Amino acid sequence: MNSMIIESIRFSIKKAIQYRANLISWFLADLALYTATFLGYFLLTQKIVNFGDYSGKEILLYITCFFLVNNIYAIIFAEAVSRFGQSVLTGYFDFDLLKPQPIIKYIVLKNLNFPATMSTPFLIVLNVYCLHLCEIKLTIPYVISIFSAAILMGLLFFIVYSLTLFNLRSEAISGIVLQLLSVAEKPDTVFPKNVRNLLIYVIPIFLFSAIPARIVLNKSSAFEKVWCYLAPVLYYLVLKIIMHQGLRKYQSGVE
Amino acid sequence: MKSMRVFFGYFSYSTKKFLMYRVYLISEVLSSLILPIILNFFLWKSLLEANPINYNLKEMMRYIIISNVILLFTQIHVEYDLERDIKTYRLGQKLLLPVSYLTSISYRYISTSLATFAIIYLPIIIATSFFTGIDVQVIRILYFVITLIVGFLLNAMFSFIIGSLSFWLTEIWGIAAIRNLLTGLLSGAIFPLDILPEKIESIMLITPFPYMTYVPSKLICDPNFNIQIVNRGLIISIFWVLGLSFIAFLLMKNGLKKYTSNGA
Repeated sequence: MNSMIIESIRFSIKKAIQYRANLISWFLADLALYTATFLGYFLLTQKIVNFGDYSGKEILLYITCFFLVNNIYAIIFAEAVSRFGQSVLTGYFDFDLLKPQPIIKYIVLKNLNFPATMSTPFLIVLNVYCLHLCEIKLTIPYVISIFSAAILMGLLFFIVYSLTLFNLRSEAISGIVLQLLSVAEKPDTVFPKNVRNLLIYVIPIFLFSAIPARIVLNKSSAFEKVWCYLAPVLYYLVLKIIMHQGLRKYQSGVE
Repeated sequence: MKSMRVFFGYFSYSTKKFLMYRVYLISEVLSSLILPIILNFFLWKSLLEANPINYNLKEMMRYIIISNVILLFTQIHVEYDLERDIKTYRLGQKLLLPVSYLTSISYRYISTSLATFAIIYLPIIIATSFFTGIDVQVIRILYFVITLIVGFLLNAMFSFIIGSLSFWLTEIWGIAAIRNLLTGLLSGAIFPLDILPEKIESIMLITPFPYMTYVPSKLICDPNFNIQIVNRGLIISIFWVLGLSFIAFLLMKNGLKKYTSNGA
């Protein structure tokens, strides 16, 4: 297992170095995405002091939590989920199925996305700076919650793309899902309680931003903390069930 | 006359293509319009309750809906088509067609944008104006049309410049992403620029971005919007259009000298 991970990382690095234009494009796009969103909120904090339950400084921390989660997701899962969706449509998924490895593990390790790591140091510094602004110390539960959220994001996208196995056009759905992800950039407390709960416990989008931020700000309830660490396990089971059912319906190369 | 006939041919093709894939049409409306509007409603409802801003919820929602619609109309993505053509044999083939390459690509995008505008965006602007009770003067509608055209041209020029970079660069999607995000933020589609401190707003008004969304939206949404800002803005934005067109022209001219195509 360890040697497979090491080889996957090596492969990913070699691939990234070989296609340098792609590496630079990833870096530029990431930098633009994070800078533009951060700048947007920073500009708003010049005039707005209260963002739901969060102060100006806290909302900047909130948004940098989401950046970190999004970045870790981009490194581990982004390439894998889109390749998975494409390979089901084109029929290349047959070859993935023949590999002597669990399918999700194989797809993820084969498609690690090294270029996304280019912006990770910048995001870590930004997040630590925001922690410093809020006069908060970095804690282990917070770090775990960030990783837990990134894994959950990957699992959710896998679930969406596995709908392709049922002959559904996942690329039409993924546009809506991507837009739903932008919900994570908004403060959770601006939504009515029912909507907020729905977006934490059913479509757990606020687990990508609000809950890790609330954990480090010491604003989360015990139930939210438990759910943050437990949700990836539960959604992994859901994915396994959907994959199992989907593989029964799967026909090679529907396009 | 002949040119108009060619354009209407493109327009008819774009309308048919647009109405053909209805799943994508619905998905586009849901993801680009309905969802952002719902999200913004909750966000601004909460922010306006807790912070003193010179907008009420109705005014803010009116602005957000119209500015998003205008951004969707003015933001075109020629760069990806240009990139595909330049990186493959296609440009070589298209240069040999009886319609000039630039005319063909411009007509295609203008007709697609007009078809989308007429079918989706215009009814939304009219419905929003009607339900939120905006009383727009005729002169402002005229200004609105002019600023909309200028906004479209500004966006098209940015897109064209980025696409033309494909003559020299292997990948342009990183640069395209920067442009998309900057346009989204600085054009005033996320929030009206006049809620920012005056100094920041005046700096932004020198850049081309507010003329893509903010100025046209304010013309429709705010009956008291200072028309002097629009007049000054039109001069600034026309300078930007001319400057960007010159850069695009130079890039295309030099790029075509460098371009080689063979096979297929």
